[in-house]
Amino acid sequence: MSGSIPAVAPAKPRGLKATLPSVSRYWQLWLLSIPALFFVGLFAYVPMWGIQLAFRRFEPSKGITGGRWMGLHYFRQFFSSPMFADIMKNTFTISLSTLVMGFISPIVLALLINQLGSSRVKGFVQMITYMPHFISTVVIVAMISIFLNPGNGLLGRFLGDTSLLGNPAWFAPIYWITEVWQHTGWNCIIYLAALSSVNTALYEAAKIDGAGRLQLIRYVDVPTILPTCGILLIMNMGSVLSVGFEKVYLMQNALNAGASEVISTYTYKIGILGSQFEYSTAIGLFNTLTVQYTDQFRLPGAGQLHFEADLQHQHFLKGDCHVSIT
Amino acid sequence: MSASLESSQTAIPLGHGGALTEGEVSAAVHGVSGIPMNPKVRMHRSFSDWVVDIAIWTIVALAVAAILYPLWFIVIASFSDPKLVASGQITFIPRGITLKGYATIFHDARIWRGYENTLLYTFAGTLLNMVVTIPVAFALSRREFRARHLIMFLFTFTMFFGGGLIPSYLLYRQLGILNSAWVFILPGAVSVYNVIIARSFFDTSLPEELFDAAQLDGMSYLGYFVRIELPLSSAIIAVIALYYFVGHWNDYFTGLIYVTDTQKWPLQNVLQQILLANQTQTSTAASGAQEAKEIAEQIKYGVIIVSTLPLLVMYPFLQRYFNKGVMIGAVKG
Amino acid sequence: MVHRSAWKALLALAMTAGLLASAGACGSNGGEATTDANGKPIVKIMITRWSTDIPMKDMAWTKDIEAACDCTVQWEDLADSAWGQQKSAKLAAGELADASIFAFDPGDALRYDYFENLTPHMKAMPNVKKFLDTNQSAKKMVANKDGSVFVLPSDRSKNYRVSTNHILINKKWMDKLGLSMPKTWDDLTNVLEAFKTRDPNGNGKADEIPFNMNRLDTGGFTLWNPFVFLNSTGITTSFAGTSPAAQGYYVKHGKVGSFLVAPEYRQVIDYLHSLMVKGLIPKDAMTRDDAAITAAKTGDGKTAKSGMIVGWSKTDFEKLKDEYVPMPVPKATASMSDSDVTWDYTQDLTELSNHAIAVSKNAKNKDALYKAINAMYSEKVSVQQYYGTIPKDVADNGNGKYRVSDTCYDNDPKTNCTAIADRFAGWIPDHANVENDQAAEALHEADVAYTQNLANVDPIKDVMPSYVRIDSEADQTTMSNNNTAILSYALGQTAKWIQNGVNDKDWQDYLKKLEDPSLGLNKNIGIWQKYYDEYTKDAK
Repeated sequence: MSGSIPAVAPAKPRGLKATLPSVSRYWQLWLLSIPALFFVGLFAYVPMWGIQLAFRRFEPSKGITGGRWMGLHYFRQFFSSPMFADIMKNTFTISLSTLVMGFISPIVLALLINQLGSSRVKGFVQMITYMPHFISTVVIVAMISIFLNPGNGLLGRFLGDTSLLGNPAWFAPIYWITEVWQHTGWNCIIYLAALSSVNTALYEAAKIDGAGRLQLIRYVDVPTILPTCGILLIMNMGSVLSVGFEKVYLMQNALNAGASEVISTYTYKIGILGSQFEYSTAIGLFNTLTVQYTDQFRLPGAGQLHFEADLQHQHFLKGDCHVSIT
Repeated sequence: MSASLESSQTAIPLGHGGALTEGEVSAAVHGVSGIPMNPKVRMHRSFSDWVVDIAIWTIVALAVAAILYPLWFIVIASFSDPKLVASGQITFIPRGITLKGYATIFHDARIWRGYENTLLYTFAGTLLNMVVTIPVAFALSRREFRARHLIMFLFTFTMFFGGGLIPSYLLYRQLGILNSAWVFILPGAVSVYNVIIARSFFDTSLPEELFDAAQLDGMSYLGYFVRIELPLSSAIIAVIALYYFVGHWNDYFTGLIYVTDTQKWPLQNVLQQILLANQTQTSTAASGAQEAKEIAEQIKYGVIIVSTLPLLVMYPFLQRYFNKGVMIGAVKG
Repeated sequence: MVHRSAWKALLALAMTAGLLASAGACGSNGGEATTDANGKPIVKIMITRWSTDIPMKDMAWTKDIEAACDCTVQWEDLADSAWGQQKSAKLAAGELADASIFAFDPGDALRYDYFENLTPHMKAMPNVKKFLDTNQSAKKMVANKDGSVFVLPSDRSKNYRVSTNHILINKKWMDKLGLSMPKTWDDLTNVLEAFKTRDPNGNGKADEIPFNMNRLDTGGFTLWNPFVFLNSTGITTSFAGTSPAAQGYYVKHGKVGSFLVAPEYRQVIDYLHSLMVKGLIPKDAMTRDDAAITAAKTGDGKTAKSGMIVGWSKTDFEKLKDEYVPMPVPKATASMSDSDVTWDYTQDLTELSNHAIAVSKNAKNKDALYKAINAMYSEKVSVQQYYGTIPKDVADNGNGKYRVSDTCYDNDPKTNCTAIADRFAGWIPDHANVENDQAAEALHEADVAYTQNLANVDPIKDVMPSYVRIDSEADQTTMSNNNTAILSYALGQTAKWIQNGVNDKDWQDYLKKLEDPSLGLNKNIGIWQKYYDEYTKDAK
């Protein structure tokens, strides 16, 4: 790939002087970028002045910018809340376990599906594993409750006479196991697409050289999807603090509340129920700032302000939106 | 295909845009396994392959079973007696069969309007999404395009920070798109997440030699994008389209917040209303409340079937694109 | 081949994008009309409802309002779920309808400077004036100290002057087993044990649930939670609506306290735990889905499964309702004096609402609007708003006598009575007599059982009156921040203890933690005491 020299390759332009020629040289690339820049500018950057709500009192009749400046008041309020430590711990526990397991499982599934010889079986397995993605959170939680019922639940009958849902230690595992169950098939699509670009000749060559199945996976399949894995890992890291509100809220009960109160449910209780829009904006902002701080790659995922509205928005960004019937 | 393309060597996409030749790969395989080639070992290998095969099939079969059962449960719960479902008495076979849930869903005339709206928003929305996303992903994948760092920064920044609901509402009001079809289509025109995925695919899966060859042919960026890159990227295009499509299809939040005219509601909002209407009693007849609530339990499962079937029907068509090695055929062709 | 079709596609996409962009630009509309085609004023009224499956404009009685104001009412129906999300944005946009029903309470009106003080306009709304003069409780719920009223209340009449919570027990089972109505907690335990062991439903299976208890919410004490048993110990609860009892506050002899730290609270926990140990409450009571609780109440419509519930009225049991009767609350111990036992006092909260309708300062046609509101508070329109259209759904028998049609109860969508029930903005005066309101009848029947208990309650000294409000926003913020932390801890412990029991050391640790200033429980009690004293000083 180093042999040919692209006709339009730049001689590494440096500094401001280089900008103008660069625009004219790459006008076609700019042209292709303009629509996206326009939409991102309009729908993501224009509303960004709303962030100041976190630092002001909400006095709607004066407009968002008209309320009294409160500085870091609402942030301090959150940090000094007696629940702060628990909330952070719970949020991290749930989201990290979901992140790790939710990252590994689609890769494994994609590699497995790719190994299935018959394309008919492949298609069938893909289709089946993709379906749970479309189940609404409400129904997922209802099924968890029914299956874990200690009396006659499919799983609950083997698990003692109280439901696992009442056990704080099990809250995070139930959460991530069902997340993995629901989204692995959907999330492996991207890896399957990446695997589709493997040169079949490569397999043949490796086979002639005597490579076994596992070696084919290790030396052909894995390197193929590695870049995709990297990008997705980095982007998912960004959502490390944003745990899905709806599911946690629906799975919550008084017995597991110690392990299930997370930033978004706390924001909901305090901000929306108590009409404290500023406070919930501040907590939301804190949420996203932490994400940036902890993300060394500076390529964050979908951390967003305002738990509920953006909850949806962020799922949408991820192409990870559910049938949300509440 | 042009002559210069044929002359470029068949490249294998591997990691960070680099490509290895077949020889290099087999060398790598040898190098690590460190086992000399002889028939004995090969026989041994095929035995281990056989074991691996069984393991793969077993795991996949278990996974499929673990997924099929709850799916089956949803299907039978959508027409079994909701009381039996709630009290855990339905396991494998439907009992107390009643179609009240579906009857309630389809009794509502708004549902067809909802389907119509959803189809419009989904197709128009996805079309715009693709027109905006794929070109910018291509532009950002060109390493020599130095502005890409700035643009990437501007894009990823928005994944961290958003103004939130209130300023967005005010903006949409200014633009006059509240209560119109546009609010379903325009604000979500670009998903930065999808741009990055597509960009990294272009970045790593297409060999640079293709571009070099196109350059020699005197192709412009636009020409290369349209004539080489797009036809070779049907897998990623299909994936991105699917992401957007499903995103629009399932979007009920937009309708909830920005659209009060129920005539413009997509299917998801209509279904939600039907469910709500049964979960709560709005007329005086409090005595019917419990019964309606129970039907609501059934509707909860039924709406999944009603809203998801079209997506399931669509899937196999898209699946074709990301299941076959598109690229190689195209290069050779 | 490849490139031609690709170019075509690109061209098509570009054209689409252009179309989209140009069409998006011309979406905004100019000033909105304030009169309709016939020159009649237009009045916009927004209403929030559970669901909007039948739009307001399709309810025949809304024509009566339009006739009275000689105007066109443009209704905007919003589901609660949507309003919850839109409220802040609409306030920020200043985008309020001329009048909003069930959207803003007096606290909102004080905080957001968007609403019209209605006191000076009472002349234009004689029905409203009469209502507020007649019902002082309703007036106090909305009136500010300076006499201004920004939000009007609503009153669904004496039919609903009842408690929201009742204990209902299976009389058929008790009769069959020869048991009498329990007088004490011990009696009740015995009755419930008999329910469990002696197969009262006679199906040969031990499938009876003696106490089909609701689970504890994580946000507070909601309707029909088992802590109504606090009344057995002499602490009067008010588990409904906006009452501070939801966060654990109560009043006794004019003193505000939190029952979360009261010894009586532990007594109830201990009692519920004893029932749990004996298997009289389902083992998974703390985690069950609502649907499972409902299914256990209504069963298959033939064989009852529930022995006892805390609920609304016997209508909770649907077809099985005739098996159940209300049960007066048993005493905690036999040695207690009967006069110490109270009952949940939510009369005002059940009957009245303090956030029925608010008028925007910027409303265009205020005269027509006041006429419309006045019409809504007239007896006839109020009855229709609540029950349904006269004469289709409700018969008007003259002299303030009405009868709700039986067809309203047959659960057939074709004959459904279209009304907004408790989301109405109106006043059904006590002298109006609405018959065949089956919900109210069942409620009354349930409430009668508690007459004795309720007689022991002083509605001002033993209850936080519904008109006591925390006016200051700072106090309100302190209150809700502290409450979130307090309840999250206390309810978690409570649920655990009902399940596993509590020993003295745990209880002491719990008290210590709750009384620690960092949680702010005592501060919150102080705030409530302050406002309680302020609002009740004339009444006492």
